[in-house]
Order: sequence, then structure tokens, then C-alpha cells
Amino acid sequence: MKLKINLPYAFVFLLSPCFSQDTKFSVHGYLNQAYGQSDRYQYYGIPEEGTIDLRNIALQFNLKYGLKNSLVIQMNSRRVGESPVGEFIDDVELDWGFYQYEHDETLSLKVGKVPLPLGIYNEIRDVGTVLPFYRIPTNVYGEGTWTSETVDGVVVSKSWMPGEWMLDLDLFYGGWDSVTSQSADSYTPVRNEDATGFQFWVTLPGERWRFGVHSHRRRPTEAFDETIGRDHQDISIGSVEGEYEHFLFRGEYVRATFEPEGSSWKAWYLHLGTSFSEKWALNFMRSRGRITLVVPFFATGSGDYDDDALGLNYSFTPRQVLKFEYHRTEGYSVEDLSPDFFFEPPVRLDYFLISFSASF
Amino acid sequence: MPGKPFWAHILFVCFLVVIPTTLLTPAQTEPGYRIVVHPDNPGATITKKELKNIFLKRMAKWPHGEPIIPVDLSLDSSVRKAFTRDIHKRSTTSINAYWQKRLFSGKGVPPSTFREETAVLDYVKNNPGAIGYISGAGDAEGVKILKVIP
Repeated sequence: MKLKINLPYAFVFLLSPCFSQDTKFSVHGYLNQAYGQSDRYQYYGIPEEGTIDLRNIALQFNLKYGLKNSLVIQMNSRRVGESPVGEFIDDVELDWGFYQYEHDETLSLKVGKVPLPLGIYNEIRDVGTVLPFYRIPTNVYGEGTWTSETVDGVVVSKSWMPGEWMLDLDLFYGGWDSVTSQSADSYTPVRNEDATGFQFWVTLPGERWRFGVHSHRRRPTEAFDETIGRDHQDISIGSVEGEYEHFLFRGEYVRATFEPEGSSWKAWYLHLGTSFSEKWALNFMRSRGRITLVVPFFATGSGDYDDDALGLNYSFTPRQVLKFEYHRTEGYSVEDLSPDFFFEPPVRLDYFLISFSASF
Repeated sequence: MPGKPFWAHILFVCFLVVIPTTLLTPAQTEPGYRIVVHPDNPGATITKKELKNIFLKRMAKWPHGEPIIPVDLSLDSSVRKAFTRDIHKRSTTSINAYWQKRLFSGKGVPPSTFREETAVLDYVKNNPGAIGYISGAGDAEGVKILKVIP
């Protein structure tokens, strides 16, 4: 078993003041385990013969001293089935670890390897007990590709509560590791530097609806190609979320632009969930994505990625959830065929997942 | 499986099973609760908005400066369900999801949880900034009851 901990993050321990009598320590964790099988080909690590090697386990250590200072460390172990992305994932990794200073309940500063505020799901992408499906929408968030769960740097958060409204702003600066794909079966590690951006949420009175905007610019330092994405990439996400007693609605749209000029990734999903008792919930999701790639002096190609999903969830308790989900997908994310959208039509397949999630 | 029948099945399930079931869900009866604080707490009343902000950890200090320490009953407690319904206007499942998101995104830890009301009372008695809730009836010796106002 490999254990990867980036030693620079250990500095947060060194910066920590001596623990006082006000120190509070808590441990939390979650498990997200799935079995997946496709009806043909391999899709995001799910082969035709099925796999149980789909798993996320995390353990969080939270140390708070006094009212203003805390240190949070989360370790995780993640398995992505047969996906080639698995080559870049260690058995046990530092998920995130940061020092937080809370000036008051409305203003805080986090330094270290900090969860990246990006859309509805990025910070909770593996917490199965609060996700409608095993995975968050891959068209918008990727499977550990093009973006990251964390930023190595600084996040400043500020909240306002004018009347019954709530406004939340996160500003961040830093960098992160990710992988990027040339095709569905080939990935290359990338280091993103000088990432600067924000996430802004407006929550309407009653706290049923909230609307969000995220935007950032980053500079990939080891792009897979000398021409593509070499200089910078811009990502923007618009989010809307509505929650009622028995209904849940979520929708997000992402637009990523990169060089050469004219190249882009645009995707959206709409999710409608309904809970018809404390135990049962039904979820529908429709997701679409389109890549447009300009290759200078050669051609401009585009490809569509579709995923429609239906899921039924049963909650033994709010912290123990069993899910069954069925997906119909069409696109180019078929890992054992790796179709080229410049020359070939999209590939269609169905797959299902049965998963169990628990947290404490 | 062809495309249209797939979505036809979804619509079928939605309209014939889910929505009627949802609409027929009976209203829950809500037992009462009382808000308890340390005897030295100078307050006599507390608003529902203050309670909401305290138990979501959006309000960190009492007006007299003492740090607030909210404590919850466990998720399956009928008193907690009544308190959550009345103060947050949501189910305990929804509030649990709120805290799971906060916790695992590194944004905050939920209030400590006790299974028994006696444990809540003991904790509140021994911590000057603590606040909890107990059922509408029963012994509340050694703590102060705050009146909840709209």
C-alpha cells in the first residue's frame, strides 16, 4: 500500500499554537462503496463484466482550539474501477488539510490544501450520503479530471445576511494537480498554477432556493500538447438549487475555454429528486456536454456527451443510504474503444450502479 | 432498450407513484419542546430566528459575550424532530444533510449530540454558554428555561 502525504502541509502543524484547555477534537468519516456494470464496453472504470472496485473512504480529524483557530485533516482512499485515472491515484492520500482562522462567524481564512469552492458538488464529491447518485455529474465535474477537489493555497470566505437574504463569497488563490485526457484511454498529469477565482452564492429568503456563480482562471504547466491549454484556461459555472419538503431541484452549467482560441467544453445537467417518505427517494438527471477543439491548420472538431440517469435510494437512517441507479449514456468516454470525435460517431451504452453509503 | 420507452417509464413512475404518494403523506403531529440554558444566562426569552442561527452555528456569542455551545438530541429523537420542524421548517434528514455537507467540505462541525435528555441537562448545567432543548414535560431542575418568541 502506498501512502502519499505532501510534507509541506505538515507546516500547518508547526504553525499551530500550543493546545489550550479550549481544545476540541473530533473524528468523522464516510464510506461510499459501489458495484457497477455496463451492457457493453467500459465507461468511467465500469466494465462489461462488472466491478466492485468502486469505493471512497475518508477519515477526518478536526481540531478546534478556542473560538477562532482550527486544524482539519482528511485522509481518503479512492478506487475508480478499471479507469485509467486510477493510475494517478494512490491507495491512501491526503484529501485535504488546512489551518483555519475564523475572525468571526462571517469571515474566515483557510491556508493549506483547502476544499475548492466550485459549484454545488465539488467540495462534497465523494460524500455518498448527501449525493443523489454514486458519482456527481461527470459532464460538469469530470472524474478527477480538469479540475480538483482542493486548492493548494488560500481561501477567504465572507458571509452577509441582509434581512432574510444570505450572501456567501469565497475568494481563492493557489494551484492544484489534475489529470487531463487526450482520449478516453489516455491521461496525463497536469500541474495548474496561479489559479485565481471566486464562488458566490445568493440564498433567497426562506432558504429554499440559492443561486451560484463560480469563475476562475488557471495556468496549466504541463499540458498534454504544446498547443492546447498551454497559456491559460478559464472556467465558469452557474448553479441553481431548490429544496422543498419532498422535492429537490438542481441544475448547473459549465463553460471552459482554452487555447487555441475557439476551443471549449460546455456542459449542463438538470436533476429532479423527490422523497416520497423518510426512507425512499427517486432521482432523475439529464446531462449534456459538448467539446469543441480547434487544431490549427488542421480542423475543428466537436463531440457530444450525454448521460440520462434514474436512481432509487433507500435510507436506513439519514447516514446509511442504499442506491440503485441506471444510466443511459452516449459519447466518447468509452475507455476500451476510445473513439475519436473528429472522425467517429458517439458510442451508446447503458450501465447501472448499486452502492451503499455511510457516514459518522 | 430503445430511447423513448426509457423516459416513458420514468414519467410513468413519476406521475403514478411518486407524486400521489407525496401528496398523501400525512402531516406529523409535533410534541412540544423547551429551551434550556445555564442558570447564569441572563436572558429570559429567545426568538426562533436566534435559535435557528445558534443551532446552525451562524451565531457564536450570547449578547453578554459568552460563547454559545449548542447541543442537539440524536436524529431519531421525536423532540429533535419537533424542534427542527418548528425552528428550521425542515425535516431532521434535511438538517442532517446540511451538516454533512458543512462537515465534509471543511466548513464546520455540527453541534454535539446526546441520546438522552438527562445528558443534555447535565451538559447545560455544567457549561455556562450551553443551550439545548428537552421535551415539554419532565424535570428541568438546575437549568433555566427560555421562553421562545416568534
